[in-house]
Amino acid sequence: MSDPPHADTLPHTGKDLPPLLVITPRGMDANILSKAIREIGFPLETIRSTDEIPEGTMEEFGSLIIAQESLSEESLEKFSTRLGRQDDWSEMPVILLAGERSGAIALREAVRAQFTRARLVVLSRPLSWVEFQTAVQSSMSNRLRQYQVRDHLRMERLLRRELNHRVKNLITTVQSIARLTRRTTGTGKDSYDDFLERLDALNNVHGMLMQMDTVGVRCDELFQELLRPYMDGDKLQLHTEPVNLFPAAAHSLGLCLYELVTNAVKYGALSHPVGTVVVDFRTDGDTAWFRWKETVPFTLTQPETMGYGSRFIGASLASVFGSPANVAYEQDGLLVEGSGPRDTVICPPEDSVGPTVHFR
Amino acid sequence: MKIMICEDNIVIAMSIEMLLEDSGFESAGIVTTRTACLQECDANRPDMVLVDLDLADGPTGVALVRDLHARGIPSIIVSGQTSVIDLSGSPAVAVLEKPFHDAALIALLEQSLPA
Repeated sequence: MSDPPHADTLPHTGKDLPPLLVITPRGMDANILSKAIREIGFPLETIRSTDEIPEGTMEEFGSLIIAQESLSEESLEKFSTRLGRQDDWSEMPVILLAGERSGAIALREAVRAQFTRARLVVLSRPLSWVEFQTAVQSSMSNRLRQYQVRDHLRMERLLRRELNHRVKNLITTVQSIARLTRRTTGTGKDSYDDFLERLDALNNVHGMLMQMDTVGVRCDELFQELLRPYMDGDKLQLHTEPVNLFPAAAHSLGLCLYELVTNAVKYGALSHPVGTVVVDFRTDGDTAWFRWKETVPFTLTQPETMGYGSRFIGASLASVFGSPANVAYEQDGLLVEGSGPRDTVICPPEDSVGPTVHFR
Repeated sequence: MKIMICEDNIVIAMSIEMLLEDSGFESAGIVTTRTACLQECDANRPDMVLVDLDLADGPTGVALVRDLHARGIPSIIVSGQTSVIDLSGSPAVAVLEKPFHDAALIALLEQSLPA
């Protein structure tokens, strides 16, 4: 018979291996079993009876090795209850060492009903050294596959939670757009068109953010992508740095740009053949700043009431930069400015950002 | 009654602000992080803060509610995650799950604020 595979051949790093739990009332037996287990590279702990198994679901143990004499009728019943309390993914591998007189088959038949949530192997004594090590190795590989199932289930649960959260937020955002549109433009056809336009903006910005890196969104790419349909000749000039925006800042800036450009097309610089817009997003030391300046060949008058657009622009820039924005209806065209600390808007370089998902 | 909105989705925040104004409340402004909210509250104390759980500086809403409570400022949690985050020990005066109806928020505010 060839040697059993060593723990190092299993697909994981040695230090992450879960310990086997060796359960026998006899110290000498514990020593011999420990030696056989250590020889193939597995960590282990020893206790004298199943009653001493630490509280919990036994998730942390790779396999249990139980000598028959450590199980009384009472402790067998208690252990069976413990097996029943395992998580859904878990089916604890158990190597049961039959006493020399009882025999493996008789013991297996006796405990089968009580070990329903265990992957049971029964070995007769005297044990074969290699047979025992092979059983240990096989039990541990099986346990590691169970851990993979556990990790998949946890990841799926996490993703479902995240999806649920995003859907609820999205519905709330759409509800909010409806609420704002009704408040600012009433309930007529114009209002309906405004609502649909804003939904389009939300969809565009969302689509763009999804395509980009989730750690940070390249500012120059976002601006170019959003404003591309309006970059006809020199009417719209864009000066942006290739910095990474935080996703929340990118989302608000994207919607703000959309509102600004829609407004410019309807009433401002882009509604007139010779009007121009200059857009800047730059950093200056520790400060990041945004500027949107329209120049129109007519005299701009300040609207009497502040509509959704102006309020939204002011509020979104304030949320991005953490301080009030300047929205000014200058005579030669609209001026919008916002600025704030660089590190609240712009991500540090990607390699300094650690992973955001961790497994146990 | 001055109410501050701590919410990082600017569309949602603005719509809440307009809803508050239409219902006779005063907005104490929109903030998007736990830090900014506490700074604003220290500078210009509101009567109530509406707190989203997931903010621009991370999942800091639960801790923010505790910070506000320590300052004696009541808060209402407004979030889409109320069913998956354990809020049993939270000192928030009420919890409202997103999406919500206008009337539900206004009713909660009217119940929660001192007469």
